[in-house]
Amino acid sequence: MNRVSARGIGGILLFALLPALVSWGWHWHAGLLPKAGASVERVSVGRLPVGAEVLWVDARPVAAYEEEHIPGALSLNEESWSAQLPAVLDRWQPAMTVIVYCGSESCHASEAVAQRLMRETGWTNVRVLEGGWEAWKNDRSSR
Amino acid sequence: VAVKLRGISLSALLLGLLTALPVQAQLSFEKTNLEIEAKASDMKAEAVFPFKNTGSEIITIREVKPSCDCTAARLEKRTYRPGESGTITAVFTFGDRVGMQFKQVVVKTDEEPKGVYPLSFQVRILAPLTVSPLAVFWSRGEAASPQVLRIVASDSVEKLEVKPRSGKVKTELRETTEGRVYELMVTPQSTDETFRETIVVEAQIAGTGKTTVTCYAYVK
Repeated sequence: MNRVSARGIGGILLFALLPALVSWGWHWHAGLLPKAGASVERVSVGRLPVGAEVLWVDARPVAAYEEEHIPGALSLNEESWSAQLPAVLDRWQPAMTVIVYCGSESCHASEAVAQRLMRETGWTNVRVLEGGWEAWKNDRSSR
Repeated sequence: VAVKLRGISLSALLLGLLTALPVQAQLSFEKTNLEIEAKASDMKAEAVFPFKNTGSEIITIREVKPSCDCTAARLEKRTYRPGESGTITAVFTFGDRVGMQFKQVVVKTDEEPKGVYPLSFQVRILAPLTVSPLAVFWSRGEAASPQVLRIVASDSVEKLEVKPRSGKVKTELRETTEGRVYELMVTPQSTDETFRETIVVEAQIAGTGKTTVTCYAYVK
């Protein structure tokens, strides 16, 4: 009886796996899965570098930045890159960790800005904030 | 018991398949991915996605959501009868972007259980002049050795000039591929004090005037 039940449960699990694979395959085909190759290291609000000086870079549109931003953050987005970049370069110091954020987990601007910043400056200590501004704000309000 | 369990397994399989498989798409797009080439001076690019309602029901488009604030989506109207065609136009404004850009627009309809159509387009924005890296750094007191900026000029560039704003760095332009690729050697006069130097790379473009790229050299 026990052997039969175990085999039966195994069968259910196996059958449950099949639709999951079909679903994954469809999402992959439709391009709905997150793109691989995100090369910038990510950091969560709970694991910010301790003791290191952080240069916050806000990749959201200027209007959102002006409304509210992480204290000390500088605005840098691809709309006005040339005008905003000098302020970031001026502020940066070799010992700093640069953390780029955008609106939330679903935005891609922080990844694009971080990659471009690394490419144009040669900086390696650049990270993307997981969950972006939304995660940072939620973390602060829960304290 | 085994028969019963086999029955449950079969039901689980069927239920799983029914919920996992997408419904037959009723909105048929001619293409769901487009490739566009544009010049930086174009300022914006349009991606047009024609579609047709190939189903037997009226479809209402509830949402057309671009992946970026830089992209605006236009829709002629929201409701389409069976057999009716339409277009979704995504207008991507470049801002200061150059190179390959990937953009997505997600179309959501009232189809049950789920009418979701991801559309994507890639735009290659060609700039007449690209410089990489755009900024070079030395630490205070380190050896004042040269660093190299690589400049790639398009065919339309007729003449290239480098203009450091002050005398804090020496610059030397070397052509590595005739009329196309250059190396700009930048060497600080001294690293004893911190400074920022602005270097303007100016290109004369055939027929359209000048374009410039500003680069930076720092002693930190």
